[in-house]
Amino acid sequence: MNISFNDKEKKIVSCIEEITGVKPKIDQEKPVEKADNLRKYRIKKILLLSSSYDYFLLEEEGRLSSLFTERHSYDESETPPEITHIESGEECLKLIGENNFDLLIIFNKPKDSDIRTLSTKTKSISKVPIVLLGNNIAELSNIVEKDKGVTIDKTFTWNGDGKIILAIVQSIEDSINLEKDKSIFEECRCILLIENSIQFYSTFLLVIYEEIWDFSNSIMKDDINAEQRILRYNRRPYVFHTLDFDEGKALYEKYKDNLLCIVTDNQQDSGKKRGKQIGLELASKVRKEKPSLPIAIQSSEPINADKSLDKDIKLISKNAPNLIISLKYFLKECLGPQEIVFEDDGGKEVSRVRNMKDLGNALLSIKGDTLVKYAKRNVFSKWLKARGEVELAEKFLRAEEETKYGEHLRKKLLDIFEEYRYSHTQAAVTSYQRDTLEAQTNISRIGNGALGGKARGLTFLAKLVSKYISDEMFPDLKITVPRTIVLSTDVFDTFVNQNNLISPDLYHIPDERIAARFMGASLPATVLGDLRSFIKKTRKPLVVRSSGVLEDSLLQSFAGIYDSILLPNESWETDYRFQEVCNAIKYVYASTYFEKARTYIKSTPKNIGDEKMAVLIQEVVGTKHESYFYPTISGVAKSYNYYPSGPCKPEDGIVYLALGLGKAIVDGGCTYCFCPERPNVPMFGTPKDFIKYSQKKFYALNLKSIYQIANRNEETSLIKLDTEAAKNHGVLDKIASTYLIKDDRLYPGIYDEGSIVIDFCPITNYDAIPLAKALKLLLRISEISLGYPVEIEFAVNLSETESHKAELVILQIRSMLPPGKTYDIVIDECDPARDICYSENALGNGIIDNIRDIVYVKSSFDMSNSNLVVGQIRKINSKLMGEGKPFILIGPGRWGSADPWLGIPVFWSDIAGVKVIVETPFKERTIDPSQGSHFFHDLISSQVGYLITKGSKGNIDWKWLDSLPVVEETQDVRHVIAPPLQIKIDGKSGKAVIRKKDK
Amino acid sequence: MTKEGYNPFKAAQKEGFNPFKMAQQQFDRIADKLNLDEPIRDLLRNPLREYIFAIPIRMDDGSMKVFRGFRVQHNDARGPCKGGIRFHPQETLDTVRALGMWMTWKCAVSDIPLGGGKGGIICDPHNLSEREQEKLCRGWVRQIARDIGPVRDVPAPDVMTSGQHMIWIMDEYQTIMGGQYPGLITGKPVELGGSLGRTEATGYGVVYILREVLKEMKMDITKSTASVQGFGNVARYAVALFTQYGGKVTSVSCWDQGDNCTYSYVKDKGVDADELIKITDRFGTIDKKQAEKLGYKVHKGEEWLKQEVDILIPAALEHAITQENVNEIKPSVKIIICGANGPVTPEAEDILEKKGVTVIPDFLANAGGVVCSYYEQVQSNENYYWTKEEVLGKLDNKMTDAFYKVWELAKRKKVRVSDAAYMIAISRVADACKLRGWV
Repeated sequence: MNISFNDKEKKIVSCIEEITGVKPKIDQEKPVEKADNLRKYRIKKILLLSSSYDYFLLEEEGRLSSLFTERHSYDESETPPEITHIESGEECLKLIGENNFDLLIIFNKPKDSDIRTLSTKTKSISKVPIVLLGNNIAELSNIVEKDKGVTIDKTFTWNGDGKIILAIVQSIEDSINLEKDKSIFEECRCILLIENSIQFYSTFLLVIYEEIWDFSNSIMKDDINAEQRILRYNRRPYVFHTLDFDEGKALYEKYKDNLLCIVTDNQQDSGKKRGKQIGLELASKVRKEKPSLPIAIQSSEPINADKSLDKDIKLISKNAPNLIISLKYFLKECLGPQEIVFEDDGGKEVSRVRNMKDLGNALLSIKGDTLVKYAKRNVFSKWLKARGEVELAEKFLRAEEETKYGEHLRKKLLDIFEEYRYSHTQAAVTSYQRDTLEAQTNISRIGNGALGGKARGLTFLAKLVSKYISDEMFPDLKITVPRTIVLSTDVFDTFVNQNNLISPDLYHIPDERIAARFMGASLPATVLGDLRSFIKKTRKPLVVRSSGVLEDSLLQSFAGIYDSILLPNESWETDYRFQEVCNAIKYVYASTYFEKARTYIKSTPKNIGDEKMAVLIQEVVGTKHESYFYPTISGVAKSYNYYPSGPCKPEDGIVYLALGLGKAIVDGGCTYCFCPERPNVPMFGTPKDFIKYSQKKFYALNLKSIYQIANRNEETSLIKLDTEAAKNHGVLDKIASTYLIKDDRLYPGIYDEGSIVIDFCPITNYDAIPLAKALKLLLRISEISLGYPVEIEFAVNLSETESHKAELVILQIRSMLPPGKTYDIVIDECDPARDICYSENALGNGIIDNIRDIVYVKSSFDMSNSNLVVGQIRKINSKLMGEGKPFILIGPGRWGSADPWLGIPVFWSDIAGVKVIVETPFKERTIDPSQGSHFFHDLISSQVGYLITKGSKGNIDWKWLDSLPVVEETQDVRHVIAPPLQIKIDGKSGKAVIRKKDK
Repeated sequence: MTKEGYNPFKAAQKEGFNPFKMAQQQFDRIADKLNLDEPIRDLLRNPLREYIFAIPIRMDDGSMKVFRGFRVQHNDARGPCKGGIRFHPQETLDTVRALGMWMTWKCAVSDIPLGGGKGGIICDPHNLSEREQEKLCRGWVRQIARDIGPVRDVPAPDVMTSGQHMIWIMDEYQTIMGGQYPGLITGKPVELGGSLGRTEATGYGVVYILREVLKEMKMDITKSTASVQGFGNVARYAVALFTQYGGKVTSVSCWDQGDNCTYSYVKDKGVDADELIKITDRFGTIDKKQAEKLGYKVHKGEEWLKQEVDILIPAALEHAITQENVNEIKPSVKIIICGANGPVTPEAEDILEKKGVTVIPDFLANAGGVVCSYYEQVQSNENYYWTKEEVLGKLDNKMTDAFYKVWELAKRKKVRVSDAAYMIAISRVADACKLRGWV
């Protein structure tokens, strides 16, 4: 198969090979591409020359249009052929000359022309295939004999069934595609018909194509997406028809490996071999080479078969009243089994497989020796091949032939089957099906609208993993996405509209009232059944998250703007759990209109009406330990690091890890970080530093928590546990080291003596699981695919037993804004005369001019008042935003910290109008720079300059600030007007300066 | 709640047609297929109990009048009887017996633990004042109180009875019994123990089933079109939900009280139930002029039947599709789903089967109402009431399960969907009787 790579694909493949040492076996051709390679030639325009009565017969009695529509129903991209009807030969010639018709059908003699004259003239104008259709067999035969195939390509008899036109079209297509489709050599099957009687082959072709259609219809009942459906349909058998035995033999020789069966006449009416039983001769020859190829021989004369003739060769009399039925039965057997019926040794049915879902169940349930018995007959691979699952059939065939023992065979077949299901369901967003096999991880949707930013990102990642990453790259690690249901945006629209929730006062009432209003309404009836069915089957904790259309889109962050709700999902009562999820969904919908969201959207080019909310309901990744639920590791990986250190470059990226739920990282608490390119470069210098700064506590979900969503207090559902608890749960083996005081050393793993330090050393230094490599790979291929740096949120579950793989579950992917062009910004050393502030640790890039407003926290400020300061700043921010004035914000410690002792605990919406933030050291205490994920992310996406100053150099000129004219002053905050200022930030060097503009 | 446009006794008046005989013939046919033995046949083809009683009432003008009341309890092997109470001047015992039997099958096919019953009073409420109707309801209860109840027989509204009637009945029963028994009756107003979701339940139930039929027939609901007979409670909610799923309804119909005939309202772009409701009066008649202004073509007669659509939903009258008019149905129609009771005659169904049209029988398709009544009964008995989401979520799952059992049997046994539904219903009831040792 020819595979064409584009540059991106090449980069990705080479990246994978470089990192994993394994060349990915990418099935370059997607189903839609494979389908397009088959049956390339299609008849699109038919010219039908007939009387109006004959046309009436076809359209009204034969329902020609609806038949064509039906046959094209599987492939929406293909339209049924357009039929142009004309009544005279003269008109025919005119139209043939002016248009590109693909087929001319002459239905009985036209009133103004002789058929042969007409066909001869037509062929002189165009190479269009000409088919003659008629009632009078004798007349047809006469014409055919005279023409000798020169101008008339094929002749059929009209038997009153409009489907003959379908058979004609398909027959012409098959014969032309025979020349063009090289792929039939590899994966398609064929039926060979040798018959020169017009009357009989007209009937036989009609029957054959109808049987193929019925069979194709029956194999579409699997839970497959549109692309797979088209592929299966296009892989239906070709039919080769020839009038001549010699040509038939040649076709047999060429396609014998693809033949499903041969249907042949026994004698020729003319020629050298007239009267001889050529059909029998051919059958005997075929039997020697292909002992199991089904053959049907039919004849009007008695067939004198030798006793030695294989009993499986079917002999049919053309004079028999049950000729058609016999042919149909023969074809049904040849096309392949629609079902597999498993019987025990006593002949009793134990299981029946009608579709792929049944196959999965049967592989699990039937006895090992029964499996082997059927595998020996290649029952599975034949059934799959008949359904057009050629690749899967090949894998099954290998397993059937190689594996002889029951349980080995079962495992092998199940692995192949699961890989197939995984690759098809993992990547695609399928409509939620209530009876889907639970074992399959996939993303399902309820509704027909858009999926929103988070869901789109997740789907993108799932496709990436499915396409490029195979088990052999990471034998000890399974990379996957969590089971997710997406309620698409149309559900939100219906909910809001049918409950009349949007009213002018909605934007002015408190969040609690908005929430109460939304939660008093009912979700649309269209989703309740599916939702309830999902909840019934799911017992894991769930997270209900927003997936807004504006959210997490290319350049707009929205991180943390809408609410997510974590549900223990612990109750035994399905009704209770269902109602919890319904309430959570409504609460997330309500958060679209909360003040935080409204303020944030104001700072973007969008408005609140643009937002449409989809909702993700995901299983929380983790394991239950007593009454707590948490993953072993949560993390965020970024492909670009704005704070590189040591030998690591910004492009090497950074990974943050924490034990337990990811809140520890989002809040910027003690977490571990490492560079994926150099995972064993230690974060800290000494063991004592590790002890001091490593995680002591972690977040878990309290499964017994009780809370009201409207008055939701996250504290009651999340609990902060000591790492000692994790040790007792037995989860620390691969993520912690033990500090032995006597050696002043850290030893990877858990020992009875000593202090535990969460340093992830077994993973980063000893590759206990190939997490660093996997994350590096994901970051790199995501970045190549998207074209810009990315941030991936993930969780890792380490299993308690060695026999189960660890799981790396990807939760979300977001874009990081590109570092941007670096300007040639020359920043001199600090010039006290001009500079208000100088920093060597700055984020952002560019020159910002003419800012005059400065809002700063007074030097007399006490950190114990940091909560009170938020309101003061928010008020000034609102005022300045209303006036359209960007400002500089100066203050101590970590802006956006959840801990009021570490910094001012603002939300982004409280300071959304800011253009530059300056963090100053708080008295003598150096606080680690803001790494709080949501806040940091919004900062970057809003293109806000960010300067960290240190006491030793470039400190703020407080005297100058205090001397400026005051616009507004509160207890701790002052808003002043400065002369025009210029801020320069060099993203490459990390230097920045705020200085007075030259006059 | 009064069923829209339904004249239940029209059939009975037509040339001696006996609905009970018809119901028994239907039963016999299925009993043959199931090879039921004689005793069980005998038990099931007749009601277990029938009560006929007199209700003397002092009228507003001071005169005394004696009304006759019925209650037929067809079978309660699976649970307490369930069925409506109707007021009608021409009620016959045979009609009530037939309806009671159909209720047994309806509850059984939807797999709710209830039996079947029906009853009522021979009267014309148009000629009675509200006070007289109240006395009638209370009088009915006084006669039958010993033989109904939350664990025996649970009535509901039916033809020309409403939630108000149910409340009077419940109140009288509670007075007699000396306690609160909200589970005695269903169809109550929400404020007094009715269930949320009940109004939508029957119409939504039709669409839940239709949704699954379309899936099985590999038809995309968002590309499907339907035509509906009727515009009452069932039709309105069926149209609303079908449209929400992305389908298009091109026609509805209604009985015009003024002109005394049916009109069909056709809009190729799709009927908007909300806009039509605004121009429908309390008798269920749509304003023709207003409809035309809104872009509807108004046709006198049964134009809804002749629409070029995929689905027909008769949701008004019985005998809507008969041998006489079945050939007017267009070849495009693939599914007929019965929102009303008895809209397709057996002869018409035979013809439709030959044409390859799938008919979903009434007692499966419109079971949403009785399933929701069951939920109301459960909530009332627990004195704990569910959210609408819970009711409709459960309803969806229940109807879907019921449908798939019927569909699977129909495919496996190669029988009509209606026959499969009957087979499941009757065998469930028969099994219950046998388990109890009745036969």
